[in-house]
Amino acid sequence: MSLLEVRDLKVSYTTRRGRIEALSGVSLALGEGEVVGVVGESGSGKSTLGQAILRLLPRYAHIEGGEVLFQGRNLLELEEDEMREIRGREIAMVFQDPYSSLNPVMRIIDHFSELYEEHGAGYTREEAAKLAGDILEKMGVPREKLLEYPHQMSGGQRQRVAIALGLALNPRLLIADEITTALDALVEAQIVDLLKEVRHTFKTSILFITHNMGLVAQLADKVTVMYAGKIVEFGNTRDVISSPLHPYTKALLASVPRIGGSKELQPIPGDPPDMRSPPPGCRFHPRCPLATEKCRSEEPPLKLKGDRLVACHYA
Amino acid sequence: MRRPKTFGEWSLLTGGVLTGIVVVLAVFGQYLAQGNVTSSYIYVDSRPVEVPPLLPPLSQVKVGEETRVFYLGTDQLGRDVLGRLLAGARFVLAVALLSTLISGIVGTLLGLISGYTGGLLDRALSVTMDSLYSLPGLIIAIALAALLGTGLWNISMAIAVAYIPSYFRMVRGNVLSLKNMPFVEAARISGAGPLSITVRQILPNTFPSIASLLPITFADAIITEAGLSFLGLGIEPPTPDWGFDLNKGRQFFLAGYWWIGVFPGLAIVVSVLGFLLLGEGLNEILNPKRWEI
Amino acid sequence: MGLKEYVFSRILLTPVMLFILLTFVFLLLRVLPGDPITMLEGKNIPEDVLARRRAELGLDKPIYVQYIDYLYSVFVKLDLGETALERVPVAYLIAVRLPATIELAVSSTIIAALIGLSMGLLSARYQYGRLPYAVRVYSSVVYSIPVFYIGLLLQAFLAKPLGMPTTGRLSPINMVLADSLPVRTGFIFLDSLLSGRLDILSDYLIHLLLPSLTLGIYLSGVFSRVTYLSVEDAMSQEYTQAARGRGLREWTIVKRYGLRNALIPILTMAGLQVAALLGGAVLTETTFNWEGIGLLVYEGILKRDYAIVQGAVTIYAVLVSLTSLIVDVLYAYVDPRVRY
Repeated sequence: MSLLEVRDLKVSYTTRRGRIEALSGVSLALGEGEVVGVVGESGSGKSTLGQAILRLLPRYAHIEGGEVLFQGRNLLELEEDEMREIRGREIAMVFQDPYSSLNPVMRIIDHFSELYEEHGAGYTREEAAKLAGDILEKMGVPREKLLEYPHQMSGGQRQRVAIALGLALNPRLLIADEITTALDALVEAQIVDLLKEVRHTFKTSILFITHNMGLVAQLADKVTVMYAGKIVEFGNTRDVISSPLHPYTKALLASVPRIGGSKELQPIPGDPPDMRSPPPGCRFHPRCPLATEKCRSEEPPLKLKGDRLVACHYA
Repeated sequence: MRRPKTFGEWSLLTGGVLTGIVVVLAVFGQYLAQGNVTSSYIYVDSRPVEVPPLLPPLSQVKVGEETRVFYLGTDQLGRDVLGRLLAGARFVLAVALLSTLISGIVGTLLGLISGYTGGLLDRALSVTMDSLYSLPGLIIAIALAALLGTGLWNISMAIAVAYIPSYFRMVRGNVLSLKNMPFVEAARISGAGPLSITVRQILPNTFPSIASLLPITFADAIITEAGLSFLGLGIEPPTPDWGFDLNKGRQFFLAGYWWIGVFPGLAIVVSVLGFLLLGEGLNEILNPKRWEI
Repeated sequence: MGLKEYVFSRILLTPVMLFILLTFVFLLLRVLPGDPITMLEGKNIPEDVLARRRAELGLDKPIYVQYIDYLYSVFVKLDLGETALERVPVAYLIAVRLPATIELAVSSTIIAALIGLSMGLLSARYQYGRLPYAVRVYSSVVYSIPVFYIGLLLQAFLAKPLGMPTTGRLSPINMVLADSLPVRTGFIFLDSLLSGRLDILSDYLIHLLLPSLTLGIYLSGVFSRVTYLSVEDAMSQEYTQAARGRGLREWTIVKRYGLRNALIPILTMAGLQVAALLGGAVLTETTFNWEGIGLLVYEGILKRDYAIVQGAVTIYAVLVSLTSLIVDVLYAYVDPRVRY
């Protein structure tokens, strides 16, 4: 039984420049203790997916269809206060920018106490301090930092604090939305190692959203490749990376520099599509070297090929 | 012209309309209202006729053959309120214009020099400007007006001093951030001297922020002038002036003669609001914020 | 560094700031072209009287001597000269009048804060509706109305119909009574309260209402606009979204993530508003005949007395320094980035 199942989710944004389709029928599944990577360019809809699961979409966004099943319950049907109970406790989210995701006027310990209090934990100040200190140390942050303010810490440390806050109430699912994008490579590697630890120790499932295929390769059991609001490929990470089936996945992998790999980097030609009016047929066809007339007119459905899901007429 | 969408565009439109009306009335006012502005007498066929004081708006006075209408009534000395309003507009706007120009030019110059030169001069000027900025503008204007005396130039100078720091700070800030930009480096490398760089490269880039501050200073100057004349500083009666008339009107207000004070007050509100909105609208256009959705 | 150390160092800085400010005031008042005595006091007064007056005020001495005299008088002797006619020490007049201005300033600030903060908070909470526009229009309009016009309108449309007093701090009878109260700090609010004379207190509050409403409304324009913008800005930061992601209640978020962070720019604005407050107080006190320093300035102008004007400007410099100190300390309390 999957922990999280997204079925045919459709999300659009209403902006001054028109209606933008962010997700056009996205489905995925995540099991207990699994790490699933979600890879795509900016505008592919991957962040929207993460936000939609927790119903943290901005005011001008609309969920137009689909289901988000968490432990069997459809999150889209819950009342706001039911949803609030889930946020932070059952499902937690860590955001991209460590420099702006902690409240500058609150100490680290206050972030934790607030969390405990809101979810009715009833700890005393000492208990809260001890528990918060424990989780911080597990994340590699010294206990003394509890009394500090965010600006006194580095970006990497702040991100660890954010992760610690996410794990404080032992959620079943952690959504990591591009959490390493704003960090330098060395710190990025440390965070990835940290997540491996987390997964091992806490048995938390992780939805790892990123544009970096390399990180996914290290961390995720399965990977979902997204393009222009749709899923184009889904399967075991190892398999997808060694034998990608969708032209976009192939192109993504070819654009990542690898030791011992080919000498030339192959960027993907063209630009991501304008989501106010996505291309007809297969959305990748304008940039696909294999595009045919069929690609231009018919949208390829997501089909099962072995244990892989691919959305391409020629996979 | 399309319909304004944002608050800034509405401001610009409304502000433009209001200021346009005010300026037109000020410039052409003397042809509109032929009333007696500074004396209690109007001249009909070279004979002075005394106008009764404290007439309510729309009163009619028979002078010889014709009937004159005092649309806004007369004040406590029999002077035409409408006429004084229009003449006052000329004076007030002239003062505001002068003060704005003086403070804008002096503040910008000082800001440019201070920002570009740096060093001791910069520190000294900055400290001075900070002190000036922290004191209430009205108080400074009062002190200076008390010392300099009455008259158009003196009031304008007194008011201008209070606004110099705003321009100084803004321009200096701009200069500091522009000073190290590549295009300035390029000019320096190609041999341009500091004067040329300041005037040709840096100054034009400060224009947008200066331009959006000008209408706001103008509006502030009108209010400060009104405050000064309300306190009896800077103008010699019987010069028509809104603030002064408002003060006089105040004393008669509670006795029921409301038009003497209300109309000058409204004139002030409309003018200030007009320039303020104009400034806000300009600000939004010249310095766009990037939070769009 | 910590709060205590910051406050301590800031207090030490104050005399330096005051010194600079007073030097500046001196330059403003003395180094200008034009002879202040003739300008202010002496259109038709015989020259020997003027000369005597000049000597009294020390204006015949060389500039640097005047400067030292000025600083010495203010800092050490606390002497601000004497008025031309009655020979009353200006410092005494100011001391007597200061409490009235402080009471007016405090009550106006409270009113401005109440109006401004609530308007700002409400529009930030309901920022997708019409309210923000209304707030911006309100603040522009209020800014455009001269403070004495607001006073005039309130007098005409509120005081007159309701029969409220429009001048002074107390009605004549109570003025006499107030002089013989057991507690006499000069702050009528405190005096009447601590002496148990609630009748005098309520009379005072009725007199205080309109002037503070006038000045308060005048200041509320800027207050509401800055509150709205700062809270809206804080609410659009990522830490707000992260807080929602942790399941916190919306109202908690508005308070602890929105308002709490917005306090920083609001406090900055409040610090700048003190200048507007003091300036506006002059006009308000004149309108309502409120016996504070502002009215003193007006009287000084009417009587053409240079010593009063100079003394008033000096005291304003002192007030500005003090409030600047208070604001900076509050700032350090509110923004941890300042003290660490």
